[in-house]
Amino acid sequence: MTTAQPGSAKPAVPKAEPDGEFKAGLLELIPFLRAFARSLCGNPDIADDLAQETLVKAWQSRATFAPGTNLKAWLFTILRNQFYSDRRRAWRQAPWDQDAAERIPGASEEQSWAAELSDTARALSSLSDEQREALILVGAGGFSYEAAAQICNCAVGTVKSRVARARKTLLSILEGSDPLPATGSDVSDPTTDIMAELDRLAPGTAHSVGGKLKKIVSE
Amino acid sequence: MSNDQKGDREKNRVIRVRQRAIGRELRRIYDNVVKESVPDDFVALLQKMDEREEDREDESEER
Repeated sequence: MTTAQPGSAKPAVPKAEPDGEFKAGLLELIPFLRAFARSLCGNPDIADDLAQETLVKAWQSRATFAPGTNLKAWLFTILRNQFYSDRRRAWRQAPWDQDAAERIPGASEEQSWAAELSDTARALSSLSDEQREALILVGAGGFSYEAAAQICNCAVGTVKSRVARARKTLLSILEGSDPLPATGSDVSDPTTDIMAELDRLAPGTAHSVGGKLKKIVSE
Repeated sequence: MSNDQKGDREKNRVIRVRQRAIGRELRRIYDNVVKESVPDDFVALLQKMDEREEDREDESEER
């Protein structure tokens, strides 16, 4: 885990009392940070790393938190920004996926965990990051559209349409009872074309996510 | 009411029922993680950051 972060990491003026309160607030919210991180990453180990990075960053930036405002939303915003900046970094380092998979001690545990995932959880992994985070915040985290918009740094209307599209996509995936794609890789080959044809002839046997499924739903 | 309208209402009802089920499942997935006991290293991390801060304060008081 790295602690050197760009941006808001600014040493705060130490004050015993407010710090104690802030720390208690963080402690109380750790379970929610872990849940949000898990829903963003999927992988429990990476999610916990992300949640810990969030704690470090939150602690370093605690002077910028306005007491009395929503600490949970503040923390979720940090976590989300961290998620996207970690991922941008990961993409620049080419062989990240493979290396990380070998380094993570719980990699095999993770596989068995994945096998036990409910259909809904697996379907979630097929959504875009934007749709998934909006759906989790509003649908599971209990955030208002307004709070979710603040966390995701976008307009309220954008959150609403992301949630709506996410719900529709999940529904269409779960209605098709066929195996879900293991990863989001979109491969174009003759098999895919045949599957597309099958989908067209027999809705409900969808093999990939996206426009094709939307079409099926609207039919 | 025409058969088409009946069909639409039935379709919408089914969709609502399924959406509710998905919503419940989403909350269940999220709540399951919330209910997990927090790994020790989280608490240790907070403790460490807090103590480091106190050490720094003590040092500055001594000088």
